Amino acid sequence: MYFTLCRLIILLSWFVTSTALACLTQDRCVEQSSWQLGVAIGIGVKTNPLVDGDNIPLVILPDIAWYAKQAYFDNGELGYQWIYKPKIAFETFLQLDSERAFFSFLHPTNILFPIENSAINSPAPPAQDMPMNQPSLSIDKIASRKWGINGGIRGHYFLSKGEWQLTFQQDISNVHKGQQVRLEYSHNWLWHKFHLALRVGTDWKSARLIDYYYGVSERDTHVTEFYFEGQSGWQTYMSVTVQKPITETWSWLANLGYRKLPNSLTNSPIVEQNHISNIFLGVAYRF
Amino acid sequence: MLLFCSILFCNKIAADTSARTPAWILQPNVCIAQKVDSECALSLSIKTKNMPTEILCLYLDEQLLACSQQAYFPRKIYISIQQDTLLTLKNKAHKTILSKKLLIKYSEPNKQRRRIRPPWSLF
Repeated sequence: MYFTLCRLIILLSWFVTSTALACLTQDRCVEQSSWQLGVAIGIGVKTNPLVDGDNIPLVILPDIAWYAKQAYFDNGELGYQWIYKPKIAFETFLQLDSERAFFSFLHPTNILFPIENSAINSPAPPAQDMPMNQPSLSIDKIASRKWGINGGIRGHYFLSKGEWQLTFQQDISNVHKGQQVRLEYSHNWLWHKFHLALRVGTDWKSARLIDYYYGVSERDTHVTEFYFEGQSGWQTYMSVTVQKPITETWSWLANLGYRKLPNSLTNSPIVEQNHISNIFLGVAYRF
Repeated sequence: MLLFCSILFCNKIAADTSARTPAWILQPNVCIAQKVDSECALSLSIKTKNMPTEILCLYLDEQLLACSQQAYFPRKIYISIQQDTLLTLKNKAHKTILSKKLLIKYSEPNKQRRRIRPPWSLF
């Protein structure tokens, strides 16, 4: 699969030329020292791979960003950009570890617009998604997991319509002391009046991170047959965002994403799906 | 001899065609604005030659500016642009005779920043 991913990335980058940085769409650029605020309203869902985990309803998607000359805040990420040149950029940042979101209904999107889970729950996963003969354990019956705070460094290499990103993150809150590394290629097109953005990437997550969130031990249950030790693994993902302006401030928005989870995680008795997918269809308003 | 005459004849036709091809000189064709989205005023001088003997109209991105017999426009035409804009000379049948892109440049550095995280992203 990684060979396929590499081929896809090479194919995507093959037809782009290395020219100066450009803001293809207004959404990807922000005026310095001013807020960029937006909200998307629609219908969608992000699946939750955990046993008895609530799918995350996507009804209101906020977009909040502020950039100074070097410091920035972008949708929950607080950072400082040390290098910002036409071809390369480099920053350090802090952000919440998003892994915790699956263990709680108190996800930001849920707070904004909670929906009864039954209305949007996906049907039971097909047999092939279930680990073979794997007993399951509800996340309602295990010890709670804490939110982690990650410190990270990220490098960018800009192409005319695309961008490579390499990111390293370390838990600095001593919750699990794990790390993650991300390699991502994103590409933007303008096709007639449609703005298309494709992201393809892979995340490596360390054994400490996986084991803290998806491992099962005496902290969770006394039934030893559920015990599971998470191992490090790669998570490949892909997402497509399509936007079509309606007026200067309104636009149609569609988002589709898929993330494949590794066996080192899906073999856990608290995990029942081998992927996370999301879909959202709606309208976006830019203030 | 025949070959020599042919070459001479063709050269003459080419020279005549070139001499009759409509042409213009626009000055300046670059406007310097202070920053992005600000208006840029331009005092445009148009010198024409070999214009067809008919009424020709000047358009700024499809907006009519002026019409004149054989493109005898005032010495200076004052226009204002906010982005790169196409100036076109058309005849009554709306056929484009000449066109030129007027470029806009900014004296202040662009203070737009590229966002680090894609908006509306769910991963």
